[in-house]
Formats: sequence, structure tokens, C-alpha cells
Amino acid sequence: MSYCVHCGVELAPSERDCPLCGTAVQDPRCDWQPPETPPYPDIMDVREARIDRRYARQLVAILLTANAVISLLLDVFSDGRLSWSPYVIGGALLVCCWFVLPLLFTFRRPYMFVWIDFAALGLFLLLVALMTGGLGWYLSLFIPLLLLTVLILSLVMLALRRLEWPWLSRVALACLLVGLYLPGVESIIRSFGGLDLRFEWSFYAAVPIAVVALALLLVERNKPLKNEIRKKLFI
Amino acid sequence: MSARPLRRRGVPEWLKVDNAGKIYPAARSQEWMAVYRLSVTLDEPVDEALLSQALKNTVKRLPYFTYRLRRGLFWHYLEAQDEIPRVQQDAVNPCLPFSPGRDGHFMFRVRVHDRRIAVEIYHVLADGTGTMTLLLTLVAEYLRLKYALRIPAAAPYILDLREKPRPGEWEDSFPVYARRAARPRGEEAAYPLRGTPAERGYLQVTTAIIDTGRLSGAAKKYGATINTYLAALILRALADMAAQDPRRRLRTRPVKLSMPVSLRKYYPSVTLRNFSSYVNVPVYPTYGSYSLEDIIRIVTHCMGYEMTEQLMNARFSSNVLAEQSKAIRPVPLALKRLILRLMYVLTGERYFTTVLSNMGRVDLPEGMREHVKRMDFIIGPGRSNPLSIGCVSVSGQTFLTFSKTIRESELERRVLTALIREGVPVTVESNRRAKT
Repeated sequence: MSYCVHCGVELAPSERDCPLCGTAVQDPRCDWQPPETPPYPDIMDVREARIDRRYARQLVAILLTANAVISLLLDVFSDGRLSWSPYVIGGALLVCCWFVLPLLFTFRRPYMFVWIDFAALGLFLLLVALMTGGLGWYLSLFIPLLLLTVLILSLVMLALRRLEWPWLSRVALACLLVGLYLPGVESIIRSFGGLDLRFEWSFYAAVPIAVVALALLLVERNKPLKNEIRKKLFI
Repeated sequence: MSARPLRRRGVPEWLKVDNAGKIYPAARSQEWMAVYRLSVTLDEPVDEALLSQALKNTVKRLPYFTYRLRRGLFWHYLEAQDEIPRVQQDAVNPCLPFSPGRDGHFMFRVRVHDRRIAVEIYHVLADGTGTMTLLLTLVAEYLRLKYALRIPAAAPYILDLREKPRPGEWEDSFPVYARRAARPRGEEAAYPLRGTPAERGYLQVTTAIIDTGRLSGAAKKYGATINTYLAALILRALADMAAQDPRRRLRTRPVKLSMPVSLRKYYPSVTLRNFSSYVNVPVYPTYGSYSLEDIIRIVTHCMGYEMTEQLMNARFSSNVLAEQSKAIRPVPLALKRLILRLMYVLTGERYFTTVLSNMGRVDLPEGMREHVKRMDFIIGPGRSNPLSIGCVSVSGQTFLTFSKTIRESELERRVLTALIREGVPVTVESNRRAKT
């Protein structure tokens, strides 16, 4: 039988420290041992997503197939050749990859889905490039932009999810990565347009982002301010 | 499975959601659902197979609890189903929202952990009295199966499983007893408790175990009942916390304790559905400091004034009249949900600081008394109010449970240390996970 020296309440055998004030129980005669059967099991319930995945898979498959078949038939019957239906089918597959694919799987693989999303975009624009008869813009503008975006996005996700820093510091690092991304975009566009390598608009966009990152780092260091913000924004 | 077997037993295929329950499906979100839990702790570990059998027998007598919630064009409704819920293992974080994957389409779940049998239920289905009936009837049946005991049906909570379900048990009693005179629902906003949010999906539970005799003795010193005494202790702790709050705008608001009141004591209703109202007791810390005697007087007189049949009736009649309004009924459910959700956010939990729901002393019949060692009443998280308090007394002990979604333990610390200063010993237990 242990009592909290601060609150005066008796602690149940399952309590290592006082649930009211957090004061640790220190009995010099015997160390605290967890009871054989604690009042609550160690299992934690997790909230389930409210999506019927099997139904969603069937629905998406039916919608996509119907869309593809109707588009193909209309296209072929109207002028005897494929003209616009590949865009419709490709667009539908692209939307499916972006919005529906993550909902259909129970596992969480955000990096995989990001790469799949950008690969799907790359394939769709390749289709557009091939059908419009020009691969120039695709290879020299789109592919470098795509690779840069995927790289930066993956780094942002890594920073936000994997780094064991305080979350505001992680957001600040993500902001800095976005700040680096913009000059990269401008340089690719200027190189595609045959212009000399200078930073114009990207500088004005990157500076405020860097200021935000700095402000977040300052808030992270100021614990009272951070707690106040958390309390105010508590939903 | 079709609902025919239920219909054969004289159970309706579908029911309207009762007047008080209508707000809960509208106000629910993916994160929040009005769930609460009652549990019984026995003297021996629970046999899960026997409990499953007992549950099967019990829901035949109480089929209302197996109804599922469906959406109509204008209102939600309850639909009969024949399935029996399976018994689930308990978890460290009680009162999570219901989900079809885990709970089927049931709106209650029976959970087991060592010697404890718990029922968690969505408030749309029943209030505390109905759920206590389900739980104690289930436990009586379990004990009958295990020990071949003959536990007699005992009002108000233990039903005879050999009887057929009675239509009055699924009656929506609100419109039956409502009158035309309504009372305005508007109230002054209460001081809101705030704190650092705890881990998502993890309701923090702290239970104070108190000797009922000592608690009753302490209350009698002030000429109060246990309920009034506990309410006064909570209000005084809240008033002290509000008076020290640096936020001046909030400091001027009254602290209010919402106390649910079963309406069955006013009307001859035997319903197992929601049939309760509430009284919000205010204390104004901005007008000065209060002694415990002052607050006990406030609680006693406020409850005495509010808990008259006339005022209670006028309070729930306003909800019934709104539900029956010709202007409201044809509004599509999607729009009604938006309006009801807005109403819940603007008025629902804004009118009280916290809830004290006291099931009172539960008298158990001979045969059951020897096996039931403890009961707990946990109120699930509020949509915006982060702390609620449930209380139940059994076997000479009172179990006062604080359930919250914030880390700070200031309110319970103030209340329980006040009890200690009053000479009432308190043992505390929580669902915090052991640090490694």
C-alpha cells in the first residue's frame, strides 16, 4: 500500500507514480512491481478507416472499364480512328492512381505512392507528347522538373516522418527544402527557354519561405509560446 | 440475414431514433462519437465462452440493443438485425468510436478483461439506465450459467430472460409525456476547461475508489447527499481553477456542472432507450470565493428548483416540439445534419464545463452481490469538453471516474485532495501505460 506524498491519495498497486501529480512512489523497503493482472490490458484499440475497400475496388474497376469502353466506342464510331479517347482513358487512369489507389490498400507506403503518382503523370504526359508528335519539351523540360519534384518531395516526407526532431523543426526543414526547390525549378525553365542562368522570381518566393522556417525554429525554442499556441489551437 | 425471427417475437423491424438520441448521429464525426461504458468486476476471471452464451441469451430478451443505425431521407432510424455481437477483448483506451470492421453494425460492444465485463455503447441507443439493465441482466445470466444460480429478476436493472420483450422497453417516451409548453433552450455559455491535448484516440481514465460509508458520513456533515456533496466539490475545484485562469474573458463566465437526471422517476416509463434530461448547476467565480457550504447550498437549491416535473417537462418538450415541427420534418437529412451539428457545437457542450453523471447506489439481488466486487462508469470524450466524470456505488464502495482527453490532472487532483482533507480516504487507479 503506497501513498502519494504530495496528494495524500493511496495508489492502487498498478500505479508506479501518482496519476494526479506524477510524483514517483519510492518505497525504500520494496521496489515497485507491476501487478500480475493490470486494471487495463496493454492492447491499444486503433480507430478503423471507414472505407469498405472491397466495395471501393469493385466500384472503381467498373467505372474505369465503363469509361474506357464507352470512350473507345464513341471515338472509333465517330471518325473510324483513335483520336481523343486515349486522353480520356489516360486521364481516368491518372486520377485513379492519384486519388483512388491509396484508398484501396490497407498498408501505408507513402513513398511508394508518391513515386507511382509521378510515374503515372510521366506516362500520361508521354502519351500526350507522342500523340501530339513532339518529345522535345517532354525530355528537356518535363522530365527534369518531374525528377526534381519527386526528389524534393521525398526529402520533405523523410524530414517530416523520419527525423526525430521536434515537429516545428521538421516543418522548418521542410520549408527550407521547398525554398531550395523553387530556384531549381526556375533554372530548369530558363535552361529550356535558352536563357542565361539567373534567379529572379524564385528568389522572391524562397526568401519568405526561409523567413517562415526561421520563425518556426524560434517558436520551437520558446516553450511557453509553443504551449500557448497548442492550447489555443486545441480542437 | 433477414429480420423475420425478430418480427416473429413481436419486435418492430425498424424504429425512429428517440428524441434525445437524434443529436448524436448528426454531431458525430470520424474522430468523435458519444460513447460511454459501464462495467462490472467479478470475483473470478471471466469465462469468455460462457459470456458469449450469456450474451446470446440476453439479447434475445433485449433485442432492442442489437438494432443498427441507418440513414433515411429525412431522419436516421434504427433497423432490427438478428446477428449477435461477439465478445471482444478489452483495451487500454476505452470508448473509441464504433466502426463496422470491428463492431459489425452494432452500437454496443461487450468487452472482457480478466475479471471485468464491460459494455460500451453509443448514446444514440440508450441512456445509463438502459445500459445498466443490459449489463446487469447479462451478468446475472453469466452467473446463472457459471454457478447454476437462480438470480431473481430485480427492478430496475435485472430482467427475467424467460419473459418476452415488452413493447414499452423500446418506446420513445419523450413525445408520450411531452406537453405543449416549452422552455427556451438558451443559456449562458460556461467556462471551458482546456489543456494540452493527450494522445489521439487515448481516453485517459483515473478512477477514485472511495468507501461509500465514509463518503456518506462526510456528506452528512453538511446535510447533503453523496451526489450533492461530490457536485459541490467538483464545482468548487472548477471555480478555483476558473478564478486563477489568466484569460480574463473566460474568467467572467460561470463554471457549470451538468448533471443528467433520469426522467423515469417522474413518469411510469419502462423504456430502455434515452429518457433523461439534465440540470446545469452554475457557480460564478467572478463574484467572489465560495466555501463548500455555499456551493452545497447552491447545488441543493438549484437541483431542487430544476428537478420539478414541470420544469423538466418543459425542457424536453421544447426538443419534442422542434422535432415535430412541420417546418423541420421535411428538411432532408443532409441539411438537418448540418444544422444539428452546428447547434451541437454552438449550444450542446458550450453550456457546461463538465458532466457529473451519477448512477447512484446499485442494489444487487442475493446471489449476485457475493460475486460483484466493483462497477465502473466511464463517460467517453466530449466533442469539445475534454473532461467528464462518472460515478457509481456498489458493494460499499463508490467509484468516481474522471475521463479526459487532456494531459493535465488539475481538476481531479483538486477534487480528490479536497476529499482527503475532509477525512475521506481515496485510492486512485488509472489506465496509464507503464513507462519502459
